[in-house]
Amino acid sequence: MTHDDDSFDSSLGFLLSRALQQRVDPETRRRHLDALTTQAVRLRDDAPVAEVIPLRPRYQRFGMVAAGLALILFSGTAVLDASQEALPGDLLYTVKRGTETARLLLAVSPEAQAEVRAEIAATRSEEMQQLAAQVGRPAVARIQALAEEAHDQLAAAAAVDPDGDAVAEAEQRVQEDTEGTDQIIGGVLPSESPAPLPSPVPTTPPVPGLPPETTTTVPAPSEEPTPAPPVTGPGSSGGGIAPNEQTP
Amino acid sequence: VFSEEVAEGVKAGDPDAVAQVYIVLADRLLSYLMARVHDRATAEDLLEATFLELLQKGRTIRGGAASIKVWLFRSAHYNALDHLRRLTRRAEDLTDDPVRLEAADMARGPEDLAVASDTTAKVRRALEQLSSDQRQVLMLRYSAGLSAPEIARVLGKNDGAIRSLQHRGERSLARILKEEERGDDGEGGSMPVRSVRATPRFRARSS
Repeated sequence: MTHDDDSFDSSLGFLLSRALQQRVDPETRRRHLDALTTQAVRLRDDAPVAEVIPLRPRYQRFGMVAAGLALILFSGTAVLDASQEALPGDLLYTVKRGTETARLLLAVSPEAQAEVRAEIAATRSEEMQQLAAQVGRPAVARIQALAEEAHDQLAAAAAVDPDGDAVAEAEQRVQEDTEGTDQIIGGVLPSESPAPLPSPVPTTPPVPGLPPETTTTVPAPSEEPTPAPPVTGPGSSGGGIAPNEQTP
Repeated sequence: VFSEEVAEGVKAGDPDAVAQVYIVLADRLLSYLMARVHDRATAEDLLEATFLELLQKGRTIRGGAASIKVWLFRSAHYNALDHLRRLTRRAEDLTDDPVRLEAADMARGPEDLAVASDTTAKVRRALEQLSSDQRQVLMLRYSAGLSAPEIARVLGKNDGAIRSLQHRGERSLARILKEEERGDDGEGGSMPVRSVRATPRFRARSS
């Protein structure tokens, strides 16, 4: 005990320290030191390795992608393979969409993104046809949704890479599948008048003075990379689906 | 008190460094806590809590060994204060009389009991007659060995106030002890009874 100033009365100090002095007994000392060790271990174990940031809405998509990647890494390819056959309404369809989103985010260059989008458009188109083939399934609304998404993906892909082969192929496939699907729907629901499917290619308004068959033009994808919104007039052939005859 | 290397260890959260500080300061802190709460088990619990707090919050201390010592006594001071406030809220009987200190001594066994002399009992009783501030300053000054500036930091007062409290407390304590000496000489050793009954708290209990 050091006393560095002259205010310390040594005789009083002796009396007081003697009167108040307490000693920690060995058992208590051991218990306290054990508690310190236990607390140190607890603090070390509880120390956060990395700060956990709660997911914000804009990160949720990346979270989904991460979950998709984790699924790829840890569950093998069986689930992914199975999910590729899934259709809207199936359990594995979410996995299929998550895989597509992951591929889209992993595509760095605009060309790669356009290619992925074209593939997604083709996938939607295929789903649309498969769904239409399932007789009795209440699939009209889903088919329309798929057709619209295929249309949107094609538009986005064509905006980036209008001359790309993948885009052209996807566009042709979407056209064919949409036409075929529309025919199927018409056969399944003959008594109803289903809402016409969206056309992936624009139609020009009728030109006065020309015969009706010449009023609808189908430009090549290279000429019109970003199709206009679908024309849903009841007079369009095949329920609003116009095959792109100029697509190779 | 302890080396600056140990102080750095404490500030880094090293449990071995905290244990070394415990070995050096535990007795003095326990003395201070006992004088505040008058219950050995409670004082030991508060001592443990104070050192666990040091382990957890040592990183926040600025300065070296001296700052850590002040931090410990300050933490012990507030832990004791919290305990006393909890007791007050529970409307328990706050016995500040030295009898409980002596009972605590007896609980320590015959070896410790032998140390508690008659003089010790007189000093404890004399302390109880001081004001709370004077008593705390004298305890921190003479039992814990803190300097006036360190006590000022522990109690949140300025140096002048601490020196004044210390001076007045010493004068009062000396006067009380002298009176007790005279009482001992005149009444054949029955002085402590008068001294204890003179405390306001004792009067409140006995009424």
